[in-house]
Amino acid sequence: MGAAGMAGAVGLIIMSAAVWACIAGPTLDLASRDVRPGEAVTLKGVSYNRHPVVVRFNALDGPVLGTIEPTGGSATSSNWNLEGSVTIPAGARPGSYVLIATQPGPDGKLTQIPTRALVNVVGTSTPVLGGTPDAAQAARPAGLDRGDSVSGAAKALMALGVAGVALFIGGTAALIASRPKGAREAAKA
Amino acid sequence: MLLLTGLGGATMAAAAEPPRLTQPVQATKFDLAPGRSYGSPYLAIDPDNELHVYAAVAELRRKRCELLRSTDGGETWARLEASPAPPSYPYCLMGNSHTFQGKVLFGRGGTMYYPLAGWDDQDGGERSGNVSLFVGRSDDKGDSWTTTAVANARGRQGQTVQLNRPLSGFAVDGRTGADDTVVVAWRRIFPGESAPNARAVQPTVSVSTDGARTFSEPVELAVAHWANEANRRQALDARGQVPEPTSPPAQGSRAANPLDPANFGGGNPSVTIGGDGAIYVAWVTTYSNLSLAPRPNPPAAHFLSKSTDKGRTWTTTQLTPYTREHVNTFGSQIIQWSPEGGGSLHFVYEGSKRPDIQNEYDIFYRRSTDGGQTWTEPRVLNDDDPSLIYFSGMPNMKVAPNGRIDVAWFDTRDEVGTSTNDVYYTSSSDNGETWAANIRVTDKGINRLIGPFAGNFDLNAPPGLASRDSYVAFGWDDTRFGDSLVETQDVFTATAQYSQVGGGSTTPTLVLFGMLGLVLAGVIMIAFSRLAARSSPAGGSRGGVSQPVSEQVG
Repeated sequence: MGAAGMAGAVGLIIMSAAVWACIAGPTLDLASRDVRPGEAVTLKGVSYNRHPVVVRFNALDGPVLGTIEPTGGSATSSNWNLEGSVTIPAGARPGSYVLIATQPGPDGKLTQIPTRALVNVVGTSTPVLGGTPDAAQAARPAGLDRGDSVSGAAKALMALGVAGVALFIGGTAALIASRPKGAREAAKA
Repeated sequence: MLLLTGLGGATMAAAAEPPRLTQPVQATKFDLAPGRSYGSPYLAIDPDNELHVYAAVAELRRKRCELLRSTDGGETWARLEASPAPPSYPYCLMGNSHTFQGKVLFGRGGTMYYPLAGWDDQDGGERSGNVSLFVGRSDDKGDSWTTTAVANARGRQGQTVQLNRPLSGFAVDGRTGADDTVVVAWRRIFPGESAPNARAVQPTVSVSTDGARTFSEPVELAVAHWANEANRRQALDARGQVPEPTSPPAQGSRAANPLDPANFGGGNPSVTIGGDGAIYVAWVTTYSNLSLAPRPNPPAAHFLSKSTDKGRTWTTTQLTPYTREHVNTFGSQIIQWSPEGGGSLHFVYEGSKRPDIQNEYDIFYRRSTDGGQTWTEPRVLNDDDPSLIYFSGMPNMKVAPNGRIDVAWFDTRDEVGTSTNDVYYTSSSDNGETWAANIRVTDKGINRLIGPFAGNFDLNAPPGLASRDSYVAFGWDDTRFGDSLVETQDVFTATAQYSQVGGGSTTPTLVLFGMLGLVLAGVIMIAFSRLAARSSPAGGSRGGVSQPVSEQVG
């Protein structure tokens, strides 16, 4: 919390729009990520506001698994803690699901961004439903394309260059070969 | 170009082929310590060589700022030995969210500038002690530094203690004037003045016109604005009918007099410099002593302070209205200038169309084409499904030389219950009229249960961003190699490429070789033609070799 405001606070001054701000929102952790249908799972979290936390199954409008009262915070802050448990639906098939914690106010409207936690419902039957969570994206190229490949025009020029050099060598040889025999011998002498 | 209205409300342009995304790279491979904890990097690309990328980073446990360099467009990185931090002010850590711990920008002639906070244990710590500000200058691309104090708070005591943090705004103008203009902006906090007589934090700026060799006396930009009682009343009236405080404040205190100018301030200024050298500083309103239970603070608004004389004088105009949609008064508002439209200002910030839902943030964008006098209505740049209520925040923005506007931020739309966020990106090539569909830059979600990004530490910053015509460089703090025990956090980088970079050093050589070959071929042709002429029956000796007359024998 901001030093200036909180240092002198004696319960009268409220530090709203706190300079620290829990910008990533509240957290939601599960004691165990693998649970069986009908089994209870313990939840913990921090940075909630004072309103009751409603835990839903797999969607923002999914079935309500339970309501947990946050504890330990001050009236208008977002430093309340969450601790409680909810029960996975008995009919849930094995697979990956999301528990969603929301905080509606007395009017039913949301007061806090929903917080999600992944849970794996395990059982004896297969297959596992749902996609792989947090799947990595498909492989990408490594590094910038720096255009090191030779263009067609450059290849043509290179060919001309090779031809030019070959001409030079061949022409020089022809020049030497075309000189009269006597001149060559005189040159040698 | 077909225009589509995205779910987020922004007008999206149908592609234009999306840029080529590269594999993310661990930029902090040089550090093998398991407990390493690097913050998000501030990136800059060398204007003299677009493959040279620099990253200002802080190792958060050691509280020190460093500089990384890549010479291959971000594929590999090295840490430079030299640091701009003065030896007697070794720590640069600012305990703020939404804040790059250091920044780096280029001026003319390849000169590099690196602003950073500075303090030591003797200063009382960065939470409530004296924190000073410095700018380092390097003429050899970071191999050595000379450092100048911008605001030296050491030695202050009692009510005069100054927390000069976070350093939120930085801009360099290498085009106008005889030397680089360097502008530093920050939030100044007064921990020695506490409630019910606290002093509101102030957006503060200092300007150098000699390449960071000297800096002007800092100016608290909001003071002049709030000196006008009408402006203070406007802010108070913006909160509408408010109940009386449950417990009346002490008589004679600032809290007992809401209209006291000291109750009004501003924070987290962002800086940009126009093509004509005009300096623009955007800041958000802050208050002290006004939120008395159950009475809330006034809503926030953004203001724009402008100087056309290198910081000697300033004028301030209102940038956004007072509204509870402005949910963030502690960082991540970015202003940038581009030459398009005769000179345009672009402004991104965190906002919410549903401010009653805490942490429901979106990326808001506004534009001005008249030097900040008027602004467009806000647009939401993140195009995720608003009904799913995800967090999109901590924007960063840069403008490429060709005018393309790049915006990156952290986004939780891919979060499936693993407490992760990702870097997302969009761009505009028509001066902010339309925006490309959002692109996910990270290759895997960043686990924020690890590291100081959240969890009541809130040591975080926007994604790093640097823009050239041919590509955009991104950087972020990544916990993929960490666990809950050591909470390792690295710097990762990636690029989004729009066109080829460099062009290949072999091409000019091949062209030269080809031309030389043509010349030689021409020489040969001439020689043969002369040879043929001499050996013809019409004249000239056979073989083309003349013999001395004295040696001719019959």
